[in-house]
Amino acid sequence: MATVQRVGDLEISEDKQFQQREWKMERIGWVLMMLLVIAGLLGLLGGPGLFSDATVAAPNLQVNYSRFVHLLEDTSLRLSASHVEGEDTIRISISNTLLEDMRIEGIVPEPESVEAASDHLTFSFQLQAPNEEAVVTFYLNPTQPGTKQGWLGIDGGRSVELSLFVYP
Amino acid sequence: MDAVLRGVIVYAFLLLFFRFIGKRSLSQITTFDFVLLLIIGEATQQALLGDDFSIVNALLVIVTLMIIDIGLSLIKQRSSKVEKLIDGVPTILVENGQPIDEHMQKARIDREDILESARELQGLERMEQIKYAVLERDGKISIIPA
Repeated sequence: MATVQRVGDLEISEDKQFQQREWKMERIGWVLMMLLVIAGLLGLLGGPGLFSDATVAAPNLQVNYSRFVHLLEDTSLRLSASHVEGEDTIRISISNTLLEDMRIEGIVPEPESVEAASDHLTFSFQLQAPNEEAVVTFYLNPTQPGTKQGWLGIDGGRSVELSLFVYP
Repeated sequence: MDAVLRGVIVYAFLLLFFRFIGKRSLSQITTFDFVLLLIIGEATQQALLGDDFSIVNALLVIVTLMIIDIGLSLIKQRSSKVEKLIDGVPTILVENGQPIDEHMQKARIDREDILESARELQGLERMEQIKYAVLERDGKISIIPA
């Protein structure tokens, strides 16, 4: 136990050197907190924002999603797809790596059918008319933090790679 | 496991951010400092409990926080260095009626705050009646009359 020093008539553990350092650290802390807020505004910490909104595209397929999402917080994958052939169904495949630890809260519109394969799921949607563009939204809720990577594609077209980060 | 981890992480973040915000806001000088604490409490609750509202979860979080608190107090007792890091040090703001401007400016305390404490605590009327004013580690200003 260190003896308490005296300053004037006061028995006080004043430490000017430490105090100066503390004030300096405080100000560095303010800058860090400011950066955190700016990162939040830019979307780096999840939710919508400049750096979070992502679009990947291939011929006939475009996907809009959030790159940074929060644990147990709904996020959406919005697909715009148009069919290559003159068929009236569109088949969208999503790799399991993207969907594992994700609760599918809803798909709008509801798919006609879902088929399971070893590494992906295929969702079939009915088109109103052949060659029509379809907009499909998947509402997902991540149940585990961490990075998720996977692919997404339509039958007869190239697939796109996407990755997102789930903040705890 | 999740609850313990949440407790530790939230405790660490709060400790860090409260050190950044400084002693002044902790002492609730203004009404808004008090509102700020309330809001922080609300926001923290979610992070601490997640979406698990079971009694076991609450119990685990509470015990975790208490154990961290006990642990830190034990460490602080043994090491004055750690104590300074976590709690800070008291700062003398007024010496023999003379305000120390540099300290007051850095600590974001003005003469009015000191005079207010002097009136409240000691019934003093003027700066020259103050022998010492000290910004304590908990953010309160203590006054020793001349």
